Amino acid sequence: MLARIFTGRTGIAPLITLRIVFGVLMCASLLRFTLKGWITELYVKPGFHFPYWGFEWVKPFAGTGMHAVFALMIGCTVLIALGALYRVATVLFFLLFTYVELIDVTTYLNHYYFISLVALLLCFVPAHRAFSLDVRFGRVRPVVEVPSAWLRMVQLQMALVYFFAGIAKINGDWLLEAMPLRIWLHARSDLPVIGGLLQRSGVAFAASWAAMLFDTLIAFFLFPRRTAVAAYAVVVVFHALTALLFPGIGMFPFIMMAMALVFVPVPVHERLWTQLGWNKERPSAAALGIPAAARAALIAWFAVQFLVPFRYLLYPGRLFYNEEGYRFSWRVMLMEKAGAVFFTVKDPATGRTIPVDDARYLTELQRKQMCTQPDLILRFAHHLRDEFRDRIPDAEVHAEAYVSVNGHGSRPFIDPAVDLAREHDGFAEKKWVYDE
Amino acid sequence: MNLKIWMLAILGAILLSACTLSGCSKDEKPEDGPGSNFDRATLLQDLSRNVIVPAYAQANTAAIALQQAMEQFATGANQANLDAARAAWNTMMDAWMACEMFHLGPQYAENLDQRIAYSPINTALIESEISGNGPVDAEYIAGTGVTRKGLHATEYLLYGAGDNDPSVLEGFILGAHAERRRTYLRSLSMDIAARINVVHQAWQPTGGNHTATFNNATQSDINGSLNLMVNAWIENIERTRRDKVQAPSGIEMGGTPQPMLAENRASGRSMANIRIAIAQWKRVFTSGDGLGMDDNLNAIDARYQGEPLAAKVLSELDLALTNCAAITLPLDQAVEQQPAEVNALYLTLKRLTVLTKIDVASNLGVIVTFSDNDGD
Repeated sequence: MLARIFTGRTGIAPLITLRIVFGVLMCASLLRFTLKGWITELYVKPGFHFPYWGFEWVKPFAGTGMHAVFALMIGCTVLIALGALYRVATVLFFLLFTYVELIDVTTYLNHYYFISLVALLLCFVPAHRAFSLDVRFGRVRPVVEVPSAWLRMVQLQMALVYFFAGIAKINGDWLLEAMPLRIWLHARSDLPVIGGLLQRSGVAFAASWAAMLFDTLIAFFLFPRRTAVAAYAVVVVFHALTALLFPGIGMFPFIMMAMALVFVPVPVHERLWTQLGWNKERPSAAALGIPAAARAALIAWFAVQFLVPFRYLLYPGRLFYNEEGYRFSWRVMLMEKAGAVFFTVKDPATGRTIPVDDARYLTELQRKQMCTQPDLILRFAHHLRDEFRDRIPDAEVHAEAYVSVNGHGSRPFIDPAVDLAREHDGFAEKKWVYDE
Repeated sequence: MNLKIWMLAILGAILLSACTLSGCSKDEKPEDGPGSNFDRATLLQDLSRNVIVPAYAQANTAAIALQQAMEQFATGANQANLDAARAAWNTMMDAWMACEMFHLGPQYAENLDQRIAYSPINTALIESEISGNGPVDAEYIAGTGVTRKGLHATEYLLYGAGDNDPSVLEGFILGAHAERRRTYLRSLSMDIAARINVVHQAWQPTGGNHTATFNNATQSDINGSLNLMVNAWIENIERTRRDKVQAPSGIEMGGTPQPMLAENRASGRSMANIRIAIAQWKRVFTSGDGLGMDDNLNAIDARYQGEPLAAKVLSELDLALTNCAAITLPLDQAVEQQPAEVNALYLTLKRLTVLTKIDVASNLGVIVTFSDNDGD
């Protein structure tokens, strides 16, 4: 079956859809991001950023540099949608987008990670070989068919998002207590007509189970041609509901609705683009293939994609508290977590302790994200150690942190006796995070 | 074929569930139990009617009285009028402390906190204004910087830097700049009264009617009234703990008290400020006697270590008031003479920070940040 994916062929029309939809959506998202002032708020204003471990060398550009990066990205999205200088545009977009995402962990969102992955795949997918400016101006020769693998791997990437988002919901809080949906839906009691319904715990339970079933199973209905269209309709209904109920999730539902179009059968795409002027009468005689090395790379890619969400099993303790293995695992809208943390710097020579107001160093968004995520607390503790180095050379940094998960009540979640200044960052288990 | 039928059946089930969610079964009777039929619109109406609007009305009345007292003192600078002016200022401070936390709506738009209550003020600059030749009338004060006007500047003129009364009064009677000092003081009160009146009027139906705006913003996003109110409430609790108690207590300086950092040290009302703020936090939490956040939390059966969360918050608020009552000296003296009592208050405020910022906010589905970034 694997060999058939690589040797089989499919119409290129869904890839035209993918290219145009991706370009247009990214363009809209980036414009929205710019107009809301988030470039300044997230990348210019903060005096300190939380880097990813191993990527401490990634820094934001000073001055108007970050605005220039976003302008370049917007330009790339237009080129991608038009299929002009496609290879250059996709590679540049992937590099710039991923660079921006690596600057600060507190801006991490699952759909940003998803966009980075799809952008990387698009660097290789020949989505510009039809109905594009590259074809029109003779930069590349047109084709009407491509190896099935190019389409299948984009579909598989989507499927993994849904599947892992679904199995992540198979937990006691979600299924047996309808948490956090009970809190979130109750907060939407202002909605006309359905506001009253949303306060019922029965609705929260129904929604929890429906969301779990949807996420876990939908890919199995999207792949077969017979059920694909009906399943896509369910995708639209589901994401439209999430957009209505949770406007705070921004572009996420729209990105998923649009990207899931790759599951719609090829003839539908062909009819659409033909009506809009695609002329597939002049295909190239040359057939596109996938080299053996690329096949191996693709298999390795998806093996990693499949394993990464399970890495949390390598860590003892409760995932929702320690969050070791939480990111890059498609745990989408899974928990309601709030926290507060009080840092103190201690001079071991005198025993003097100094409470530190983290608001003096961090933006509100950074504070909100940091106070529930142990690795970020550790990283900020290291920053404080460095800040105090001149005054207190061997400064200890302690954190008194409290967190509440899914309304279970605030509780201490970090050992305040541990000197975080001397704890190492990395993938090792953080033994100073309480289990419960 | 069987597999396809099975798959379609599951799809149908999902659609049905989604349909339920979107309100297809409207004739289903509401179930009883936690969370059913809580009316956040009423909560906002009660909060604005019982707490916010009266607080601004009281501040407006106090500001008018302050202006009148200053007029009287300006035309008759004697000890009796100075005492009356101080009493009016204290009443104004009481009223302002009950408004300080409403950092939203018109107060936010008018930047009222900065314009009438900026601290620290620049006393040298104030003295140079008074001893100079430039205008010190109300129009000038309205346009001048926040470090030389407002309630704290008024306190400085009425009480000095904590010097004895005769020297303060003499400054308004004797010397080359006595008249300019009186004018400056009167201008300060006029500016305060004008600015508070703008915000007070903005909440009135005959003015900007922000009450309607507030009551109608029932949505749960960051622009929703409950979200704004809870954020402002939490911010005030955090600021009171950090700036008004922690800083003077000297915890930040390894336990060495910093009495100079006590708020309104000259007038000795630092503890009154804290006490009034805590009492107002409680009123905000309960919407006075109306439908409040406490009822909302009870409606969803929110709990903290087994006990109702609302009851826990109320008991901590009461404990904070008890802690305040135990501090019998002004805070600048208490940090040195009653450190245990001050520390008890600090710890209670710290627990309140955790309870409100984490438990209350997450159970109400409130986003504790002013940053409108996406999530997923």
